[in-house]
Amino acid sequence: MIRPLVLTHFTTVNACGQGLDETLEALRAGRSGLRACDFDDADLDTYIGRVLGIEAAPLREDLADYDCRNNRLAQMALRTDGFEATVAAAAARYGPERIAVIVGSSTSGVGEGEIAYQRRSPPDGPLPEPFKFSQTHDFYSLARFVQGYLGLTGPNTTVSAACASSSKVFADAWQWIEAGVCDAAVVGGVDSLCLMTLRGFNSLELLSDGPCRPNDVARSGISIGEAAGFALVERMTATVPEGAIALYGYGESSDAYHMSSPHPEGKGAILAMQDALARADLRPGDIDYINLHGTGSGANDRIEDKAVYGLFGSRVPTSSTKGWTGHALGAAGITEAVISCLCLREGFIPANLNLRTLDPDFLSAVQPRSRDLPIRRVISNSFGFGGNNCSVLLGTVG
Amino acid sequence: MIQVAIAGLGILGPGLEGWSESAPILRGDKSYVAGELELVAPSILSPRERRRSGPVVRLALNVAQQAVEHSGIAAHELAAVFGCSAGSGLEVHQILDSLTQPGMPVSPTQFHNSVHNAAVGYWCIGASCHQASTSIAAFDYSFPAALLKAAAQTVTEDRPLLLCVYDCPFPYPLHGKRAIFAPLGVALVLTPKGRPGGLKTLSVDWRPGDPPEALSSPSVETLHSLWQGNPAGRALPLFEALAIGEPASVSLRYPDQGNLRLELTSC
Repeated sequence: MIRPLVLTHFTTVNACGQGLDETLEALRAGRSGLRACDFDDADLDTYIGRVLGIEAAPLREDLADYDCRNNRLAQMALRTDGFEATVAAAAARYGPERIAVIVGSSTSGVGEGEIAYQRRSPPDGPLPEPFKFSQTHDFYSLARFVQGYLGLTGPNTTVSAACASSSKVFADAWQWIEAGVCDAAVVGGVDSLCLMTLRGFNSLELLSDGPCRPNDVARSGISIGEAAGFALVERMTATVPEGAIALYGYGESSDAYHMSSPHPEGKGAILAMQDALARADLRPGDIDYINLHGTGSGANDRIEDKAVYGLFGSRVPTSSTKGWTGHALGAAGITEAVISCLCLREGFIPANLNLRTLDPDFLSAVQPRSRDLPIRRVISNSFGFGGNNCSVLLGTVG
Repeated sequence: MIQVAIAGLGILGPGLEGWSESAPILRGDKSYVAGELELVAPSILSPRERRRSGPVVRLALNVAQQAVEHSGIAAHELAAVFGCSAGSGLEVHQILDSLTQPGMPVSPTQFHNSVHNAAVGYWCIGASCHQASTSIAAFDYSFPAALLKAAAQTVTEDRPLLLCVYDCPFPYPLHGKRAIFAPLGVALVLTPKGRPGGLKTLSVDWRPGDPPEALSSPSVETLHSLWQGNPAGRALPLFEALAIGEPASVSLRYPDQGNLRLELTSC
């Protein structure tokens, strides 16, 4: 069994809520954050999970060079639920150089690159002067911005492993803390709406025409969302109170099959979940709830069901919460890890929102309705393009 | 401080085509002639994937394959940490350009090849590797960041691992905003200390606030444009020390206010 890490604090900003309270309330009320696509001129007949108010939330003045939709969304989350104050207290305790920043994103601030390309004049001319590539479009922009905002000086990195990015950050943090590189880490992920992902997933014919309906017989694809989420993770000590949330395991694997289609037998998904169980020294029967990757695409949901049923049978309740948030891509992992934390804290299993008729071929215990149930151990799955998979195993201390 | 063993090496760039060809250049025994690097399709991929592979995938997989063959460890037994600043710059450029055209005709193959983890995804497909694999980005710090991640993973998971750090130049017009001088990839197979096959012991120590004058640069001045002009070039002082083969220490800036201090000793 690995030494667990305690999640001292966590926060989320997503389409169904800004902060833990709003997110929990939307989950309790069954209120989706999805809306008909009104993003820029994407011109797509689909639904999106849009966070409102980003346009009116500029960056802190000293970090204005980093201004882009993605970093604005990051800042919104850092300012939510008192997260930055918790990090400041940890920095005072350990020293700012002893806290790492490890954040996931699939596209960082590529939206600024889109704007720059639109504004080339002449159309084959250079990119216009105001475009600050390194501070916005570049992948590392997010890690630098978060670190600068929080005043930390430890090691930092951006993980960009598609939709598994912000689950893998938990593995990276565990390894750095265990190896003594740092004492704590701010982990998380941010991805924001942009034409590249909207039009890109459209080209793969993976966009749902209405709100996504994961695991439904009539599911027709994904609803792209945007989100930011963070957690502060530290070593477990004897003073951590009962009821706190901890990382008990993580599992990583690679499909080694195809760039954008999951392994047909779900091999990577099974390996990731088995790896997480092994690290936590738990058996499948010890898991109380599985938050599925559950994108709403035909192949993902079918193969994930096969993998989950193969390991857990139909006893463990499962659901996808993407009907609330949309698929936040590189921020999906942290968003669903934070939702899993809320479920553990509140003793609550969320429904698989937008499910009308479960795919008749599915055998795992997909939850049609939310219900109150004390739960202690949860697995959250994230599977990405390129075949990068990660399962995170979270639980209650005590 | 983290201690691992280096069990395999690879390097691929203009005038640096393979470890055995490059070691005399890095030692200063042979003069460096840059020339053009031809990025051939990696033999590890199936014909279908070879056709789909862009320049950055070719660079990363070819240098990774060198290091893995050098180590003698089967590719599917190695976890993989890939580090790269730019990701798939050509594909990102093509998509951004498509988004300015009427109807925004994004190609599906370009889109799935545009993700930052395309190279490690193709590597795992080619190597039939189901181990943990990841793809990280840290701008000019991509080598020290990926090395620190890889070293920590090797010791805490107690498994051998492939580290591959690479970058290709962006095409115009992105090149005007982020200049990467020439393609360069480096790869190391790391193993937990004490396993057979270790060539050198590598100690990795992240230290906050060391003075910048402690930083290392390659002795061969003709390599300085590659050292400074490609994030993977930050590995050149370490590779020079490996080519000389004597105990050595190397300091790399990472991040703005810290250093990654590397010590090479015999196994």
